[in-house]
Amino acid sequence: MKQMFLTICGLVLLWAIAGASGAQSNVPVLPEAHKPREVKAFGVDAIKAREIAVNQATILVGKLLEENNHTSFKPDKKYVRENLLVDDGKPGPDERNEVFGEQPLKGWIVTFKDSNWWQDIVRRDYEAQRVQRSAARQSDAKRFAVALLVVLAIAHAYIRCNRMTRGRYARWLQAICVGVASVLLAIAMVALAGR
Amino acid sequence: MKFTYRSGQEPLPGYTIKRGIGLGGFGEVYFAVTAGGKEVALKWIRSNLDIELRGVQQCLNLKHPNLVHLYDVRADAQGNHWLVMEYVAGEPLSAILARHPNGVAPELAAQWLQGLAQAIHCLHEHGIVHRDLKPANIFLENGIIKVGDYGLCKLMADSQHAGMTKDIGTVHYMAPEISTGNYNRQIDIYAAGVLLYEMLTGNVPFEGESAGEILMKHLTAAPDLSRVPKEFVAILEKALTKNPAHRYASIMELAKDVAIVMKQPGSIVMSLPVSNKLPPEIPSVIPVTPAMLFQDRLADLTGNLLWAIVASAGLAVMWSLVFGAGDYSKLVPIFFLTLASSWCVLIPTKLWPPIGRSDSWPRRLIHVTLGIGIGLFALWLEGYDLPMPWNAAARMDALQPWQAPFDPPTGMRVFGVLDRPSNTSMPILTCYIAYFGLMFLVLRWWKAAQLYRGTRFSIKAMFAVMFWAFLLLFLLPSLHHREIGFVSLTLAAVVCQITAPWKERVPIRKKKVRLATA
Repeated sequence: MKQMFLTICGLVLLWAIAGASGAQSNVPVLPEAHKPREVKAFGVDAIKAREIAVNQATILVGKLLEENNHTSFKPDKKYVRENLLVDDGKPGPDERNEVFGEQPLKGWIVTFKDSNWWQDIVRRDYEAQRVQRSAARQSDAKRFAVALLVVLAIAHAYIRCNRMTRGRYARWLQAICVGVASVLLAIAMVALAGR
Repeated sequence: MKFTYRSGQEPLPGYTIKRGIGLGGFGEVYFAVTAGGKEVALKWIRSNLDIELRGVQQCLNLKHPNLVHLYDVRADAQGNHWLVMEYVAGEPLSAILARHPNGVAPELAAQWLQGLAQAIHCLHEHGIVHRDLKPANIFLENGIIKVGDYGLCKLMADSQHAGMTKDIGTVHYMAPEISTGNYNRQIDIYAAGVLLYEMLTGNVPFEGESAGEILMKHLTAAPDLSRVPKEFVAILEKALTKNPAHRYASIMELAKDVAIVMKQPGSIVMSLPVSNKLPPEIPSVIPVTPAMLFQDRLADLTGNLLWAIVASAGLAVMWSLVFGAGDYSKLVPIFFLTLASSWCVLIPTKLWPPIGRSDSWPRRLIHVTLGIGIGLFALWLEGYDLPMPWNAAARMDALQPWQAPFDPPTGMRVFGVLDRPSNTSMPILTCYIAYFGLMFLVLRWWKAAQLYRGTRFSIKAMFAVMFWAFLLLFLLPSLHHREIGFVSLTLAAVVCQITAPWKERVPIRKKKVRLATA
């Protein structure tokens, strides 16, 4: 009964505090002036031109992210093609180039979606940052857990031995424990320095 | 049961109640202060009034450092009788023994027995038999033993001693001759022997499933002395003998034998006794109690915490092998959250053992605070940054729930139960705090780690955790978080139970037992 009461109270409180927030995303919006509209590219044929256009669009989005300090998420071509661009694009005007001789270069235009894909990219960047931080923290936590395990084991062994010997060899035991801890610390430091 | 009076009330003129400290069939005990600021314990005598008052009046002028002093008996405006007593700030021996399932160090047991003997000797010299010696009536304050509840005949029915007991715990300390109705102060010596046995081993010599069974063992069975240190075997044999004529003639003889044994070469070096009426051959006091107690508790605690690390790691690996389907990315967070959750149960339960009516608001508050802490730890472990003044880079919008619109959810799909729609209505910070906070608020986690429980491992307790962990899963933002939260709390329920020390709780029928028939 008490459990049910506590749960209901807790959930009502939670709803009152957090439920109304709607947790609307507050990710900054890219100014319209900076938002890329389309990318034009040329190739020896339409297929190549389309590939180059998608590639350039990917580079453009990458630069945009870097300029806005979002460096953790690196969008690839597949992501850009599937999520940021409208369809496969459309053929653009051909261009003649002396280097390639008489054959005109085929043009291709890819257009970015009007939807706010910037928010999705930024959230992916946040996620990528989070995953990196999480890996680093889990690594730190593992080291801390090992250290804690050693400290606890030494403390436990000391107390048990001290109680078993009724405190007669407390100084000796303390010296042994400090010695063992120092040796383990030195080994750990050497191992860390070796990385 | 609730206390009749609340803090601030003044049922007895001049005494302001601060809080209730004891409840029972005999009445209620409160901590109170006088108008002048003196701290006292007030006992409202509600049952067996005549018998109680008669006993109390005999003891009002007793003065001894090892006895809880009785100051006065007063009646309030409604005619209720109140016993004004010394307030003992220390803890009862029952609480200390609950923390030491294998008993305390022999030197401590010997030291405490000296204090107990002094108190009982004083009572016996004044012609009073305590009749209800048990750990709950003995207190330890600043290393000094204080015996309380003397002079109260609450458990004995009438002057012919053919008594009944209402307090089931008392039968563990009851001398066999009580059933005959013909007894004297030897029953206190027998009870002191039981207490010494319990202090040395952590158990009473006779246990059973009913009061009658225990009493029958007192009458017929020999105590198992193989578990007590060999120095004490002869002493306990004599103190616990069935025939009162063969027991120690006085409690001081028992105390003297214990002191002599402790002083023998090869035996434990004694650092003791307690008060000013000891035989001259016993050396004076060196108060070592708190340090030794602390060491014992620390040893138990560190042992439990170590086992919890090993068990958490083993269970997390097993889970990943069986249910992980080759995905070991969640192994580390599951291990750390299992460990943190189990430690948050083991440590408070060890430092504040649940005794009697353990479900209190302060305990719930501690648990919910720890649950919130675990939620924040989970958040940190998952790489989320809290927007704190010292962390300018942290962004609140990174804590908003988000499921990549183009990515399918990945994670455990055991029975498909965790794969429910994402919670996008709350910030992730709130999700974590709410989930772990509520899980620690609604469940009585300490029951899984308390010393006296029905079985070492209860599958029911594990299913209770799983039930609530599943019920509240909607709070967590996505499948990934749900798997980690659900699994780690379930494993924590297992770890707590297998690593916490366990002693079987003996169910005793709560009914009156006629001793004469035992």
